[in-house]
Amino acid sequence: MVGFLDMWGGGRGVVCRLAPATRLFCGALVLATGLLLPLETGFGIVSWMGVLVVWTALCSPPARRLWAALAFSLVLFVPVLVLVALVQRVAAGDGSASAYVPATMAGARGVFCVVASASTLATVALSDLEPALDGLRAPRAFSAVVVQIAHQVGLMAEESRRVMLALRMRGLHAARPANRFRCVCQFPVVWLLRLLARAERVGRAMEVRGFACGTGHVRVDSGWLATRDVWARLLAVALLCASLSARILA
Amino acid sequence: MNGNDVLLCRSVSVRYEGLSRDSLSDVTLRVGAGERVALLGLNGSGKTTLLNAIAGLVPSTGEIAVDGVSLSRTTVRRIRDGIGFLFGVPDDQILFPCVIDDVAFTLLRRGVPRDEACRRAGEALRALGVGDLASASPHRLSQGERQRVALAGALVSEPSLLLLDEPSSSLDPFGKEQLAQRLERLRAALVVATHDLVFARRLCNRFVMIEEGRIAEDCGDATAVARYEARCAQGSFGT
Repeated sequence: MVGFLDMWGGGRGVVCRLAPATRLFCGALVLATGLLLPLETGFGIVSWMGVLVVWTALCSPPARRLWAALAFSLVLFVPVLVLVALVQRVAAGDGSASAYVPATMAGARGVFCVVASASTLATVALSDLEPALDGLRAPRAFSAVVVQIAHQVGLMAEESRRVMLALRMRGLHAARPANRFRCVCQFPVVWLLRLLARAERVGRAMEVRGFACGTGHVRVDSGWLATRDVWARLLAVALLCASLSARILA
Repeated sequence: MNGNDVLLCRSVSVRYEGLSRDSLSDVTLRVGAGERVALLGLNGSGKTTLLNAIAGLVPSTGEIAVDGVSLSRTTVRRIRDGIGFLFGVPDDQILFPCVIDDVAFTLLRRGVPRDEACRRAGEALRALGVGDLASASPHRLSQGERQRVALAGALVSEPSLLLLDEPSSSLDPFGKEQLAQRLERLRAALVVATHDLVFARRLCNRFVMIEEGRIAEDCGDATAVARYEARCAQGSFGT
């Protein structure tokens, strides 16, 4: 299992040598490219596959994480889309396989989004998130909220993992099915209560430390981009423009 | 309020919503500059509530003043600026995904330039033996390391009053000694809520026993700790 904290950083590709803001910028544009490229033509499909493979190679996320992202996206999209296509086929009384085409394309785009996002996240460590948003000139309040959400989700994920370990240690897996079911049903309630109590404590700590969105925040980037960052951003924009053109032409 | 008093609590009471009795009842306490006060008492006796009340985190009656400034709705921010606070769960007060950013935040908020803030944050971390964790992510740290990081965040601004809730709970013996030495060197007044009697004896020069929300004993002598220890051993509380 790949936890929330494991999704960040760890990539070893050339993209990691770019500034954090450029990594996020290029990742976002690659994501948009994947959504725009037309999948109705052979050229579109080849380009689409090419973009995904090249971006993943440039980011080089750890293999385990890549497989996890792929498996997650397949589990997420395939059952629903197959069901949707089946319903459409039955409703339209269409015996041909063409009913599966829109669902397959939607599923393929979903898989693209998950894998490309996982690759992008592999280039950005959690501690790089703030400088990355700074570099993109995001408003202070926005970046403070995003960083805080990521940080707190990380802590909650860690806490949930500890709770699961404790449940395992207390013999949940060996319990009788009825008890196990009761325990599993209780878990969201207990977790939510912990979440609320924690939110209250964090709120207090924020008050004491004088935290408000953007307070004490100093932009860490110098405002100047290195040549390689400029080139990377230009390439990403060119890719997006090309995919847009292909979409219009298709 | 005496000119040397950093903290004054006069007849402070706290009652949480839904409870039929006060969690803190008629507490009067003066703490002078440089004094190191240990708050001792059983679980639920009101130690943390007293610290929270001083920081204006729970509504209270009576008078609380820090550095001569009386706690009110309008002064609460000013008072908090003069206080360093360590919460019982360090995770709750670490607000940034990078250790140095978190410690430096206290200074940046006060307008200290970033380079200077980072330098001082690094010094604060080194003083607590975690200088090498400056660029680490708090998620990856052990409980004791997180506690030191949270402490560094509280100490870095050199406040006049430090409120510490169980500061030694997750530290190893070496860490406790290091912390005691660091806190001893401070000129700030300390109020430490703790169950760690060895640490309290090592660090503090005044011992306040709290029982069921009231101050039962306020003594400048470590024999008070021995008496408390003896009562704990005999199980004679609430009898």
